[in-house]
Amino acid sequence: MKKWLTVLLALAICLVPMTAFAIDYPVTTDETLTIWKQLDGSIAEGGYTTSNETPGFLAWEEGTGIHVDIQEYNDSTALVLAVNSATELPDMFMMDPANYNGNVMGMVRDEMLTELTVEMLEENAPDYWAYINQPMYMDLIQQLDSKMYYFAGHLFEPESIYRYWKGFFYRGDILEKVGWEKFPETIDEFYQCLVDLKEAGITTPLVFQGTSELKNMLQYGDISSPFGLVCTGEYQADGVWHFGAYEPEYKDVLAFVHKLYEEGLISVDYLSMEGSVAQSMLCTGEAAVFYGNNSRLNTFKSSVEEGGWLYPGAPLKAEGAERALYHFADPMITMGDSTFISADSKNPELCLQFLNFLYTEKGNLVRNFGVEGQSFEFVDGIPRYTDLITHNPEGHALDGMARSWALINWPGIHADVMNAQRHPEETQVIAYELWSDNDHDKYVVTHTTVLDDLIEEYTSLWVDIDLYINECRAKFISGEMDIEGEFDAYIDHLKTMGMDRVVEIKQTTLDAYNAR
Amino acid sequence: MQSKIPFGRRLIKDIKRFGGAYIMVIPVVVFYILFHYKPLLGAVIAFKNYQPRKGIWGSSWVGFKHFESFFNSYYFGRLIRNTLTISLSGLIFTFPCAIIFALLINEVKSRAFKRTVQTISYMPHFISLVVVCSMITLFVSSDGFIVQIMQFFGSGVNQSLLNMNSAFVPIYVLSDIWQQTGWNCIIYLAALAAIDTELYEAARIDGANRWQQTIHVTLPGIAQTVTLLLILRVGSLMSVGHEKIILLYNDYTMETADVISSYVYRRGLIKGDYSFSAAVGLFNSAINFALVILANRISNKVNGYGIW
Repeated sequence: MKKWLTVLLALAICLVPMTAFAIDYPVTTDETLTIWKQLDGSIAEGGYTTSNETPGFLAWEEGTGIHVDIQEYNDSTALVLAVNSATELPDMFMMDPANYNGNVMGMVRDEMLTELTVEMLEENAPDYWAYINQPMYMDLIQQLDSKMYYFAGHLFEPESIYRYWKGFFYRGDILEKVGWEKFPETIDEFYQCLVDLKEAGITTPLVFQGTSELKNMLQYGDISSPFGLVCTGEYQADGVWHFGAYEPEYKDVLAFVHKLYEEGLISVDYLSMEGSVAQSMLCTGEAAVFYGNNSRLNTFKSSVEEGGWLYPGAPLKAEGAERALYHFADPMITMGDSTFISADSKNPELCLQFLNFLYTEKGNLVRNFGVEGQSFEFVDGIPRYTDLITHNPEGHALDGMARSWALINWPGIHADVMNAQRHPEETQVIAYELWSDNDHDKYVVTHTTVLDDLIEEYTSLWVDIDLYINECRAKFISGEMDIEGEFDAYIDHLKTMGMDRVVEIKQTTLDAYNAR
Repeated sequence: MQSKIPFGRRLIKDIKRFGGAYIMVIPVVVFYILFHYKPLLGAVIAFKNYQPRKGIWGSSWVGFKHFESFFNSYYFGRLIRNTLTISLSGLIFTFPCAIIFALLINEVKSRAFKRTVQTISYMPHFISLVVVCSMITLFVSSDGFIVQIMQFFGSGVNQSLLNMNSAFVPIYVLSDIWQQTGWNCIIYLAALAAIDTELYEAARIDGANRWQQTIHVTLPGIAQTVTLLLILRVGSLMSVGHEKIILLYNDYTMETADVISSYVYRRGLIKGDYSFSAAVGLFNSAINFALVILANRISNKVNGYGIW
């Protein structure tokens, strides 16, 4: 495992400097750049109220020789409102473009952005350009007009398992008591396991991390893929766009979940049960299977009853299948910290030079580990967080300390060797390995928008259709709508609401995207 | 006589006499100009395709496109129905509660008990809505105490009441009564305190008992305040805030819980379609404005007084 991580880190670092241009850091400038972003609340854990003061950010400024003023907003809505109402934008702003009307192309339409040409990147962000200039990243960065408009948010290494951070995990001790010597792998085993747990007196065998998590479980394919349906949300197969909840196989998926509901294998309150209640049920043994985030494997550890232990389960597959069809994963690039250089910036080149630093060998270390000798040290040639981060004397959480001392909430390569250290439990690493064993990338739709001239029509159709699908799913699961008798009517109703037109718009967009 | 003195001179005289009061009112006037009148100009984006970079006046005109889009929405009828159901339920049940509560408190003779009850009844008003909604979720869950009480009395309910379409409006209204009654009764208590005690003495001399005093002295004494607040309340019939709704609704209860503001929140704010939000807001305001005028006119006709 260690060797493997070392190889990946070496690869990540070696890929970086093979470029024609190189920036000579620190650069000489008197200019102060400005950036707007959302406040990362977890830096408070490290004792900081603004990113301007964090050791990680100061090391970035020192490394580049460029001073940057950060204006932070408490939540994404406040940030979007500020961007929307600004008479003059800052040099840069870090924002999830999905929050903007029309996504990236909406901002282009509203003349808010500086286009990042290949020449600009080669000259001012050569390390960044050398790293992202490969299909798996360019696919996401290049827009429908084949141009680039943002400096990518944090991106995963090519074979990273750390994108797969959501799935099932089990109370291993309870399963053992019930007579299960292995964890369920197929949908039939999964069902039987829940039934056995129920018969053994477990009140609600399967619980979810939050009120929308059952919907996520379906949309991420965890229950649907064993039925031959990739997921209940959007996906593509061989260049054809699909929406799972509009496919015939969706009927079998609904019937299965309805069975879980009817037999009391999931809570009748699943739509309103808060995550804290579900957590308490799992830890006290009222539940034994949990669908949620990898981090919970660590945070629940101290709350679980004596003798209890948690273990992740593989994504479910169909009987006889080698692996699961589809499972949740982050995209190769996380859009939330995409950084845009505004059209108002007087020095976009300097902005690129500032951001590029995070892709240099030195910057990569600052981004992932912070300041050598304080937040990390090299052990056997591998950067390792010090006790300041992992076992903070004042009891601060690892994540908050890592976000304060390093720059892991900023753009850059989200190094596997760093991720491994942020997940101290062995079961967490096993979970990543198990959950990454599926064909996610074969089916995923990577773009999140539709063609600019179709956005208005799409939005007005989709707002109502989405609501109808959500309502019907809840009614089918509870039994208020009869799956056998009313599923066809449900599909017909979607047609009358304009679902075929939605499919057409999405297909047109996918074709345009693939034709770039 | 006074009306013949020019307004300017009267104003100067008044300012000289009540200078302190005029200084105190300046922040209020500035607040209303900045936050209530100046933004009215921005309502014009309801008729435009608002693009932030081009600004309000630079964006292109689209006429009634956003209004048509709202009226043609698949759920338009349901949104209006749900908004009015929740709003009218509040008017019918929540509004009188504060009056009744104020009358009851007014009858309590023990000062200490009165103050204690008042303080306790105000408290829920200061609890964050998010916390209140979490409490509601727990109380009405399948193993929450409310469902358990219902089961004790033979009800067949075995799931969270928040998963039942028919229970959403009662939950919304009853929790509102619990949270707001104490706070809302303050204004009535102030009105009650202003009633001349000689009227009660006269009523007692005439042989009126406590109930008759309430009917013939207390209620007429606060009638103008009640009317004023009722007219204002009617003026917000189309406005049901989205915060509590989105904290309590789920896919199952959309049928009765989804209101105009929650729809606008999803479509307008989350997706950044500000022109659409403005159009719906303007539509709501127009109806609310018409309702206030209507209610005021009715009050003037029936009671002989109104807000104006």
